[in-house]
Amino acid sequence: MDIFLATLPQLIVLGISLGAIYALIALGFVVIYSVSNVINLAQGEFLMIGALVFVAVVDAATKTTGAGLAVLVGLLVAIIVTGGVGALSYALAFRPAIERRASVQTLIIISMGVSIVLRAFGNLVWGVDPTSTPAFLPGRTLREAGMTNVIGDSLRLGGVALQTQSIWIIFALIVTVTGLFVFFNRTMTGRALRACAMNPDSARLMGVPLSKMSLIAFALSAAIAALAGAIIAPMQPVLYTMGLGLGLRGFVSAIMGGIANPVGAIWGGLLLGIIEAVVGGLPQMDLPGLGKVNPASLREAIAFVILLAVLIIRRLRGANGLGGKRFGL
Amino acid sequence: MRFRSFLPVLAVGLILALVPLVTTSKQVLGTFIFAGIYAIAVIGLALFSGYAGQPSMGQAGFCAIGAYASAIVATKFSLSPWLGMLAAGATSGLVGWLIGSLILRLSGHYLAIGTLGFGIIVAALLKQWEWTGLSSGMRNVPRYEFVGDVLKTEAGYYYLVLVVLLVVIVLSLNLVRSRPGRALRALHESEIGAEMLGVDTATAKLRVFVLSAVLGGVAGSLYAHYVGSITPDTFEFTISVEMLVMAVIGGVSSVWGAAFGTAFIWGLSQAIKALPDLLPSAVKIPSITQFELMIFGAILILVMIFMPDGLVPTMTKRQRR
Repeated sequence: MDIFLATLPQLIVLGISLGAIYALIALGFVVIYSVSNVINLAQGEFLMIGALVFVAVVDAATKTTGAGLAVLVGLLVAIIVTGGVGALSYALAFRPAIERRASVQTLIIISMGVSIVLRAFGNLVWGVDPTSTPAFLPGRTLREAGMTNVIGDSLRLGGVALQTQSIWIIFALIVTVTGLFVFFNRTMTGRALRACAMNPDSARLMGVPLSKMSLIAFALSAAIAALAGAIIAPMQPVLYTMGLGLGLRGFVSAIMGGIANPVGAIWGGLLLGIIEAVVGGLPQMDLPGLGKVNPASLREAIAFVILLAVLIIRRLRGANGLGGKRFGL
Repeated sequence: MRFRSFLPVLAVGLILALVPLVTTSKQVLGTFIFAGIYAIAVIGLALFSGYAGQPSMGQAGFCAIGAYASAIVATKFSLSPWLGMLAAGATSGLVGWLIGSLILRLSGHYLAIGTLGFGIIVAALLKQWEWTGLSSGMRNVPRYEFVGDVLKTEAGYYYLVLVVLLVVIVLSLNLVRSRPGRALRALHESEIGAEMLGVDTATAKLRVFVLSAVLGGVAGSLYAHYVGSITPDTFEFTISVEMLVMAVIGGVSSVWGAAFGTAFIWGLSQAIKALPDLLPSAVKIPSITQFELMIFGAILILVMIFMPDGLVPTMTKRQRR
């Protein structure tokens, strides 16, 4: 237990960078749900496509342009391509159903269909071998710049190791949130999107094209997911199966925050990341009936136990999950 | 049940009973056996989803509980596998009742999400429990005994699955047409409306959820004793999704739809697996499983867009017109 307490700060740091990724995915859920009322279970697959495109572009560009520029080009291409995939999924799979007045349940099932197709696509195009990219800011560069507290790709700050990539993740979250804030409050399109989220009927009466706004919401969410995928490419194996687990966690985060509440989604993501990291660091326990249990491998179940608890508590309080304030950053 | 509605079951049963007479191929019979086991679980799923109006994304969780309960009774306690099947239904039903009492408080798509969470938690816990063999699961699960070694042959097991499937279909059709069934249908149309008419909607939902869990458990038991080994991955999330696809494509609020959907998807799956032999050798498909999934996904999307009620109800509606 003492060892656990000693590693607690480290676990929390780890959890925050993990949670920032969940928060990015959760934001995508919130944007799509708010505007088009679709719970899009394919969000994780957008992330997967983004990550795979990013790795492919970086691999191809590094030889000609050098590592730094390759990352930039990769990010740009991944975001644009995945945004296109998001818009395409809306236009081909969701819009025809929405035009036929599909129920919310039908739309959930369609989003499962989309995620099955995208996952298979990822496999058929990129195969089954995991890939990855080097860290955006390799530890070697920092050491050459004269920093002494660098081990591998991590900075050592008073007993806590901080991966350089984690800094990029937090940075990406801050940039995304700021960007969304400006977009939703300062641009005409952003305001129109918010109008659709608040009251679709009034928005339509005011001349806001609902279908076009939903298309933009899908493209935007997919683009955010692609950013998340690209930025964790150096930290975990990039593979066609990576979307399922990450997508479900982003989804849990979104629900924890109240699915139409972007600020809640960010807190939900960070909280889930920290809980997962801390539980993963608990020492092996001897539970009655269960035998020896290694908490690290219970992480998967934790997210959903939390999910069920949140849903049921909210329900008992009469809120049915839709807690917190409505859309609008 | 009126005789007329019993006829299709009889006809389907008779036709399917002929299959082992035509072929003794282990592969062909095995395909039918798996399809039958799936159909039992999918009918359970359809009963719940069709009536509660919410997709259940955790049916594989109940199959897992049934399979493990059955396997534990047969291997750890060395009791008759038939008791295992009994234990499978009972355990799944009990867990279904406990989980149902909790998550059926949720409504709308939060209920669907609750079932999804349940399935994932079951698979994750099975990997952690020493008693259930951790990730490597359980092995050497014996077959059921019946008149010596009859059920150890493929044909014997085929008939067992067929009988269970037909019994499940008859019982489900009966339920649909009975008073509780009508109450459930009213529930699907309008929960408030049903409540106004004096239907105890909470109890009705819980009962059908437990029933769907029991059917999932029985299917799990049949699977475990047929294959002989189970692992937590046998019942992962994607299996729940696959079952939902089967139920939804056939028509989620119809017993025949569920059976038809299962047969359709299984037939299609076999056809796609045979595809590489038919295509000219120049055309290469990198991964046949993923290619198959891609087609399933596309079909699912198309059916949901154009026939959200599923194939069977849409067809019968057109016929009536």
